[in-house]
Amino acid sequence: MSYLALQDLRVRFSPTVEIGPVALDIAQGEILALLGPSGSGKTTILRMLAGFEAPQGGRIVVDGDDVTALPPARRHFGMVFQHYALFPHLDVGENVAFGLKGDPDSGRKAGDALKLVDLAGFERRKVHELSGGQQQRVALARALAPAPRVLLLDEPLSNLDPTLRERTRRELRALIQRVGITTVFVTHEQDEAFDLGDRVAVLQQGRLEQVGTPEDLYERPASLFVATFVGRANVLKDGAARALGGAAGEVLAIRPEALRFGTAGVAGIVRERRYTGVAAFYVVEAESGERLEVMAEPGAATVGARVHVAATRAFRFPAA
Amino acid sequence: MTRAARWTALSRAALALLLAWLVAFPILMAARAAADPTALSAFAHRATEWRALWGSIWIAVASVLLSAAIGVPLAFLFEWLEFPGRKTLGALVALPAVLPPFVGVISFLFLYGESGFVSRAVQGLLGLSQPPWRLQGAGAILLVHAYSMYVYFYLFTRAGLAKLDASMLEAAQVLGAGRREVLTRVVLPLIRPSLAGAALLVFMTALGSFSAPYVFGGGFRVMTTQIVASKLNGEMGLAMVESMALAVVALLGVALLRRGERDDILVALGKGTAPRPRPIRRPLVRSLAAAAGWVFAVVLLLPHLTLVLVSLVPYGTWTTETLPPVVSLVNYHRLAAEPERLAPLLNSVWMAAASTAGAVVLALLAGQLVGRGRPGRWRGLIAGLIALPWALPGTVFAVALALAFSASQPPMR
Repeated sequence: MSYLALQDLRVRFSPTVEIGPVALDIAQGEILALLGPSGSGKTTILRMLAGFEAPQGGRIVVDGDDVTALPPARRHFGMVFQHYALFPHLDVGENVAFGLKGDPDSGRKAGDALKLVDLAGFERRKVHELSGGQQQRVALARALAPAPRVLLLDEPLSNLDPTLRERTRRELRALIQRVGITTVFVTHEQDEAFDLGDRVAVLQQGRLEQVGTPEDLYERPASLFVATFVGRANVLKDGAARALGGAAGEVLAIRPEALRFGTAGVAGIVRERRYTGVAAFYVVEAESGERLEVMAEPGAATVGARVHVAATRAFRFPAA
Repeated sequence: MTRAARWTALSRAALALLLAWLVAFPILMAARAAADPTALSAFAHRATEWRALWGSIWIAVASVLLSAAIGVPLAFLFEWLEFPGRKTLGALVALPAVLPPFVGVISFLFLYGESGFVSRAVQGLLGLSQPPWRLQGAGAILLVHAYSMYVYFYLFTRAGLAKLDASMLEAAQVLGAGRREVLTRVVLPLIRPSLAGAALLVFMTALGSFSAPYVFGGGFRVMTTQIVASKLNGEMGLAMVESMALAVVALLGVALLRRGERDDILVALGKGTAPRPRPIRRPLVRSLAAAAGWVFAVVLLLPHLTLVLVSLVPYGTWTTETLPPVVSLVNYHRLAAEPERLAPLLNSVWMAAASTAGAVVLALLAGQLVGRGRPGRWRGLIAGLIALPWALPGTVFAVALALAFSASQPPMR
């Protein structure tokens, strides 16, 4: 049973730029990631959900309630912006209470929201005195304080230090799960989508390529784009593809860990070796000219050695 | 102390001395001249003096309010709504900024004066035997001020709006704020420094305004015209007291409005992109916005157009007609051909060029020596001396300069 439904949502900006139609069903309390490269339309979809962009077709339904034509102010959604968009003329407490105007209990609710993000007692602080991570949490508290139906996050971690990002990701996921709010977030980083999202929707050039759990996307990619955008993959066609078991007219996508050195398969020379600890990545130049990335044990081959590479598993797609 | 540091300290001291001579000395001279018991008592006991001081203050405050009432909505119209002609009109509307004050006043006379285009047109239209109004008194001064000073509010507000972060307005919307609330709870507080800056400029300009009260004031006196009148009457001491009184009001105004302006944090956080002008979808509203833009632009540009037209009227050809019967370039030919007519123009140009050059040299020197992030002993003093002439009404500083440096009017009696 879906709580938030995007039904054939679409918008056209110009004859060549069109987003959608996108159909997505999101369960109550689910965290959905919109993942795609820049220009894929993920931010536009988030902005249509928030009400900043008007779709030219389709509907947005929340809990049986069609909100497609409602202005942002009346959707009861919460949103965290990429640069947080905190109000610099208000202190932390006033920022968090902004959406609680007219609520007689606004002081307590704002305090609770700040407690939720571990910033209890920060009410009178100035926004510009906070660190980036604290600003992000204030933005989250501000979005959650009015108890919205849906939480929208626009690249929520992109403004943080890389060292801080992984920890914040886990904390954010724990927090969202504790609140139990249905969440849609936009990201262009696979790690973030996999770590934070229950399911991930992969977008490319305005089209929805695949929706699924991280395992679905990695193990059963629905398209060549998903296979290469989510995780690493060697893309092979023609002779090299046939040498690794492909049929005519097929393109193979093979993960580096699905290639191994052996006595049969594609012949080539090891050109590079990159050691990562548990394993090493080898770049093998095949006789036909392709470069293959192989993940194997650190001692499996040396640079300059002649090897044969075979595939244990390949994704097959029709050649374009 | 290294050699470079010693050199800097020395240059700073020299600059401070130079500024002290150019700025502090004349003002101190004026203050000394004002500290004259007979002049002080004359000022204190004459009701006209207090009326003029009060006139200056309320005219300045009312000019701020009127200019804001025109300039701020205009800025929102051109910055936030997308309609045909937005860019061109938006630039045209800022034109009064380039009109010298006295020229603006003259163009008003031709336009709205008793025998101006508009009054004649109204008179003809209604079949009146008298001109419909006289352009005189406080109302006329305010009209000219509002007309020529709304530009400060217009430009400052536009700049403030352009600096806004669109996502902040969106954040307010998602949090349930309607259009009015976004304006009052987010936009206006965020552009407050811009508004305070514009208010400060208009207040100072209106307080120091001389040509408008001089030409249109009639019996209505403000401090600037009062200073000149006293000086012409030979009451130099009284003129100095008046100057000092006006200077005190100006400095109080600066101190008050500066507090509203100082808010660097408001920009420090802004990282996002400015709001895009919003296209108006409903055709009727769209046409209305475009029409409003055009009407505003035409009304605000009429003084400029008037000047152009009047400059084309040969001397003595235009008497009672609503519009001039003859137009030609003869005035321009005479301007170019007769040296004594060209002289004032050339004087204006070279004086403007010379003072610009002097200002640039002084400002560069001061900036180099005491600019941002360069702490030092002389910094506060130099910055204060540089700001002082700006904070004082032009008439006040001119009278002080004349007192201190004029060859025909020795400073010591």
